[in-house]
Amino acid sequence: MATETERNRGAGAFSTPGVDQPFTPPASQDAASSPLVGFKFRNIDPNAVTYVTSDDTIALRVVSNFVPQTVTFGISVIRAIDGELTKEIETVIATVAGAVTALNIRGVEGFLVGVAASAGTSVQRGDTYAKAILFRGSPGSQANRFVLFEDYVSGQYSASWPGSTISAPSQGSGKLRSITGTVPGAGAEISETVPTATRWRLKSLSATFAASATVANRFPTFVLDDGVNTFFAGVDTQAITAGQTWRVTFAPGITFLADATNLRLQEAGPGDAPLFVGYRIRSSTFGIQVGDQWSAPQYEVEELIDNI
Amino acid sequence: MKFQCITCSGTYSDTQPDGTPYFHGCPSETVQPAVFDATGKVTVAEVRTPLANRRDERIKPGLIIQDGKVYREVADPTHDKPPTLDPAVVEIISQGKGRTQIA
Repeated sequence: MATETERNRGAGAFSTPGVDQPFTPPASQDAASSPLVGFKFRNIDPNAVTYVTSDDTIALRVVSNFVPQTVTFGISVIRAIDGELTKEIETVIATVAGAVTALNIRGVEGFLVGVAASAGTSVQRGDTYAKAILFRGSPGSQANRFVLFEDYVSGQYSASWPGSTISAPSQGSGKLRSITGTVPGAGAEISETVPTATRWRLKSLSATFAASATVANRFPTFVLDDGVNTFFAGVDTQAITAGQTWRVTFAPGITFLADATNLRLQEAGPGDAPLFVGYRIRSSTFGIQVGDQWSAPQYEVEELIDNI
Repeated sequence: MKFQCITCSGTYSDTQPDGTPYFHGCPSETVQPAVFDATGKVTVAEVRTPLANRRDERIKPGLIIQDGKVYREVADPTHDKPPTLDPAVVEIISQGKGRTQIA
């Protein structure tokens, strides 16, 4: 319910046009009081947390599964000796997949203003991982280790301090890779192993199985193991007989299906199975014969760097 | 380049079309096939035995390359001291019987 004042203040919902005067707000007033804090706008001291001495080490680390890979680091320092802002460029070239390539920078004294990294030819998140670590003293000890940034880098995406998050290599999405595997010898099984310093998420695997003329019923299945112990063993109820050639696909989350007209078989894997270093994807064919041949193994994985 | 593994007779290319390396590993077992009669009944059961002297081309873990030299990083379990960097070479996990280039 509107009050008497509201009904008669004019120009409102209850006003009478041509009779009431429009509402006019009062002129604004400066309500500022004396500030409790003051700010300097000139000769500001940098953040003392980032002061590095000549005993400290700026450690740059790169791991890439897409080698050779050049990672460029930019390091900005306000030098203690003359107050100049210097910008150094350092390159770290990873040449061995799965190995850490390191560059330690020492002898710098001043305020560390920023560190950034980007990769040369990498185009997808997941294949090149860069770190910048400030060690108070010698590198390596966990107790004096101050991580500036850790993340994937590419030609499009940089990591930097300040600004970037610290992200473990196994976090987030990885690089999608379509890999051509080993064609096993006749009568042998497919076997693919997760490489060093790598984690996979299997998307699908497809291969051709050609049965020899030897009379037998073959049942190709796929198995996931940790290098020794099997933790997933697939099932196939479709027999492949002498002289037949089938294309067999194994993928997480699909349902078993056998197309005996077009000789295509699809087998289900676990919904989500991260595969760690040394884990294997392999075929296990019940009834396989000496002359049987697996060929053209092609699989898609999402790949991340891991365990470094 | 394309290779054939002498241990398992598998054939592979050590570089993928996108330029990434491929690391061959032999299957873990060999199969002595089952024998079937004309009706499809198994008369001799299949036997699987571990494959000896397997080749594993994956890089040995724990390598760190610093100043162009290869080291193996040996971490201090207490994390109080820096890790030791022992000289090393880039090695694969297992040579097996070797491989031959076929293309």
